[in-house]
Amino acid sequence: MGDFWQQFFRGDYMPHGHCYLWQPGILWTNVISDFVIALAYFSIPIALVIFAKKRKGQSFNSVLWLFAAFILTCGITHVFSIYTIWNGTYGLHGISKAITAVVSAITAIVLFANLDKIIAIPTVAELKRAEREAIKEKIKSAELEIQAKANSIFKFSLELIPTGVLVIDKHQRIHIANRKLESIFEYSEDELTGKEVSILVESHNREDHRGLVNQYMKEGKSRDMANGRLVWGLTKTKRTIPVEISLSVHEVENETFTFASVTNVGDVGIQKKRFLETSRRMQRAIDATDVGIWEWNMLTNKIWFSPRSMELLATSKQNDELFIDDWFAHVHPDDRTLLDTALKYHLEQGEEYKLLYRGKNKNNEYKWLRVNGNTVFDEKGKPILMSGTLTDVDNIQRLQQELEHKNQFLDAVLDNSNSGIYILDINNIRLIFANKQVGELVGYSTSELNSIMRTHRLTQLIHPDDLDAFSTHKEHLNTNRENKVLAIEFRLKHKDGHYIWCYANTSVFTRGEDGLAKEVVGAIVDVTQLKQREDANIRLSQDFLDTFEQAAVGIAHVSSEGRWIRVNSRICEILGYDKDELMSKTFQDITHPDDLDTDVALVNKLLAGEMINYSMEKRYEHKKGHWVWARLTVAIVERDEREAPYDRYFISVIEDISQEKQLQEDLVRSNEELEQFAYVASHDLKEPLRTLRTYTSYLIQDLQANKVDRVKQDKEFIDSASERMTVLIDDLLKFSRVGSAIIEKQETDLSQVIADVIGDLETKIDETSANVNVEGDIPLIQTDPSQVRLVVQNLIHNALKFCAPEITPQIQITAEIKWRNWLLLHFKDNGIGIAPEYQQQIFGLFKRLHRREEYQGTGLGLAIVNKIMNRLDGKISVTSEKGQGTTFTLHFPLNK
Amino acid sequence: MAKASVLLVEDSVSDQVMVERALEDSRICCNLTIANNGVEALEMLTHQSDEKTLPNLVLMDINMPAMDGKQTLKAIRQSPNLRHIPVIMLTTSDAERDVLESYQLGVNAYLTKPILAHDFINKIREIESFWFELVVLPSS
Repeated sequence: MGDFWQQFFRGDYMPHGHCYLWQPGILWTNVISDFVIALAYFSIPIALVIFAKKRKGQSFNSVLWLFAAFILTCGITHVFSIYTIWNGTYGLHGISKAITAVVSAITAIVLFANLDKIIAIPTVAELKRAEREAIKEKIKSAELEIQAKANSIFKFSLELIPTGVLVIDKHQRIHIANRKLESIFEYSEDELTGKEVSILVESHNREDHRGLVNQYMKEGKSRDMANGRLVWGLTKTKRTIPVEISLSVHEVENETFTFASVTNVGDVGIQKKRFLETSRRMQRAIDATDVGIWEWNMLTNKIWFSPRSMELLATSKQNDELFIDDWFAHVHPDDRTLLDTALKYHLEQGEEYKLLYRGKNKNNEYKWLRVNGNTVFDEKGKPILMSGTLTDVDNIQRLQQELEHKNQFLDAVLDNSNSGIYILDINNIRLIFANKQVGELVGYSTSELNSIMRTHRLTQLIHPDDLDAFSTHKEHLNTNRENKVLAIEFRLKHKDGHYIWCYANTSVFTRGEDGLAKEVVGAIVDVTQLKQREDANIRLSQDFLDTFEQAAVGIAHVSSEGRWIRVNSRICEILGYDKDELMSKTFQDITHPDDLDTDVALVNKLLAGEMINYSMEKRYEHKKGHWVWARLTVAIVERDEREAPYDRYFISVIEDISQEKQLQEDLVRSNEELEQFAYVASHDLKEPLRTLRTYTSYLIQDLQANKVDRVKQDKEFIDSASERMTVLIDDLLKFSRVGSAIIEKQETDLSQVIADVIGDLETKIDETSANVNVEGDIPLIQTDPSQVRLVVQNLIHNALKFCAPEITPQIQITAEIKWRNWLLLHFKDNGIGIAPEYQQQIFGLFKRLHRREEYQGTGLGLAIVNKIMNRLDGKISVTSEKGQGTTFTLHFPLNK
Repeated sequence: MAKASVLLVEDSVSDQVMVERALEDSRICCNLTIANNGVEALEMLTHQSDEKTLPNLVLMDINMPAMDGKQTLKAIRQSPNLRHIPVIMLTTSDAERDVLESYQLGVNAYLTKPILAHDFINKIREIESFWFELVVLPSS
């Protein structure tokens, strides 16, 4: 076997060249041919592989790969053929041929197996035709794509239009409806397409509508037919909504379509619906008035007037014969320049063409007309068509003029008014309008004020303390449904920084939808001075009241009849009454009877105008019953009658002069006493001295003359005079001590005092065998016992002294309570008695009823008693008849 | 020629004596009657039925118990029978009001105690009526 392969792969077989004997022609023909074939066979597979690679998706790539392989192997056998010419390696040559054979066979099999497919590969012509078809197809699809794009842009642009858009074909079916329109009528997307347009119209209007639309589509361009018309539409839910429609007709591809733009004017609810009603009324009003339409073809200068316009135009021409000059001809000569200028500005500078002019109508009368117009320009900006309306505003103009006149009048009134007038946004406290007086009020010029109005809230000018008042005021305005005028006072800051008081009358100017005040109109004045005066008045009146009330003297206002109108505290204090009690009385009620006549007479003099004031001292009755001395000064105040209830009244000033009066009385008494004392003392004190002097001089004479009897007599007189002098001086001393002693009141048992005195006078009582009895109980009282003792001593001493010599003195002491206020102590004796005419004298100084020779005494005893009783707030009284005994009574107050 | 009669109204014994002595010293010859007070004096005067027995002169103290000199003088001046009788006030008081009152009441002369002889002589000379009726003129 190994031998076979050794033989097979041996290279020493006879080179092939030998077969043609190395004939170079043959040899090189073979070699070169084989070489070229090999080269070709090596390159073809490369081309095939590249082809296969590049032509992806080729269904017969495997066939190509097989072709490439078998051509490559063929190439290799040809290379071996060249090699075997010089080297006898026929084994290897055979193997290469074998491989080629295998690959070729497979290729052939595969080729046959795929023969159908290969046959199916089109020919070039077929391909070309196919290519043409494909291009055609491509163009068509591109066209479709563009159309679709255009459609979507159209649709999109339709959706962009804020109004509803509706395209209707000649059968009155909906061709296109944009989303807005669908939503207006509450339909969902594309739901309306193909439907009859009449479903959007209120059912009872449908027939009319159909007729109208037909008419419109035939007549085409009559533009006033459905431009801005307001109609009732019907939604999917059968709700009626107000819509505004505008129509136009266009021919597209020989088909007539109506384009409608629809706006829902009911979008903002019921308010707008009302507005719509108003608009419709307005529309009807406009229709009813002389609104005419005109159209000016600026290329031909022909002008078309609607029938209404025609009526406003004085011309004999027919409508289709009119030129622009005919229009100008009817314009009042004075207004032609105006019209011309306006037109120029309109066309050149795009200003609104809207003006009033006078034009001659068909009755050859000049009327005020309002014209406005709009112009269509071509792409180069050249005006082509101008159209607009022409309205007879003669009446309106007149009204306008009147209104202007009124406005001027109102402005004049506002500007010349005394008060500032403003309109205020009460919620934001922002000024909306203010006349110049408001500015003047706060020191700002009109322009400054305007800038404040724009940029500031008024709160910055209002005094912080008054903001609450403003809120309250706002509430009042809100609750005040009758729009009554309400007043407010507040302070505004002046430009200089100080505040001024303002008084404003305001009322609601406008109300918001909630019915609350929104804007108020007010008239405002500066009341700073008034306010200051008012404050001053309040202060003054407060000062008056304080002074009145706090005065240290009693002050009262008294009516002319004597009634108290107003009293202060002090007067109540003086008279002991409460205010109310006092007010219920008259001055006459509480005046002392002795003073009343004088007082009333003086009052009458005041009332009669004879004097303007008077002053008197008088007594008032205190509530407790005692009299109060007062100095009364009265002035009369006359008032204007309008200031009723009191057209005149008295101002009475009452000073309590009780103390003064008491002092005065005390002083008078004291002076009287002093005078009496001086008078009596001069007599009674001189008398012993004079006697002494007289008799001492007689004594000397008598001694010289040796008149013994007279000497004796002289001495007796001298002795008795000096004795009298001594007693007198003692008594005077007592009397003066009584006047100056300090009274010390304490609870005193008078029985004890009496017992003590009786004890002191025991000798005297025994001498006279007198009988002194105290009957009954004596209550304890507040008094000064040592002073009372002096009194009792004097009385008992007197009773013992002034008694007829043959009679035994009987002294009876009894107590009695009188009127609950007084304790009376009676000293009843059986003495000589006192004649009635002397009873008042006995308490006087040095008063003696008897000659010294009968009854000893200085005449000071009862004077002392009287003085003590006065000082103890009591008194002494006497009852007696001559020869019947005497009763002295001591009066002691119980409540003091 | 009867002696002039003089009524002295005086409560004080010492003063009565004083007046007696003065009259005595002045050697005016008269009958002196004494009343202790005004009441007594008036009783005496009004009980004189005969005008001739009325005193030619009344000397009157002012300060007396019961009825003082002024009251007595007033009563004398009010009495038709007694009013012409000259009255000389004799008093300790030279108080102006006493002097004035006395003259207002119609006193003829006013003497302040103590009263000595020459006082009388001077005063009596002043009283003309008394002077002319007086028979016995004192020899000075």
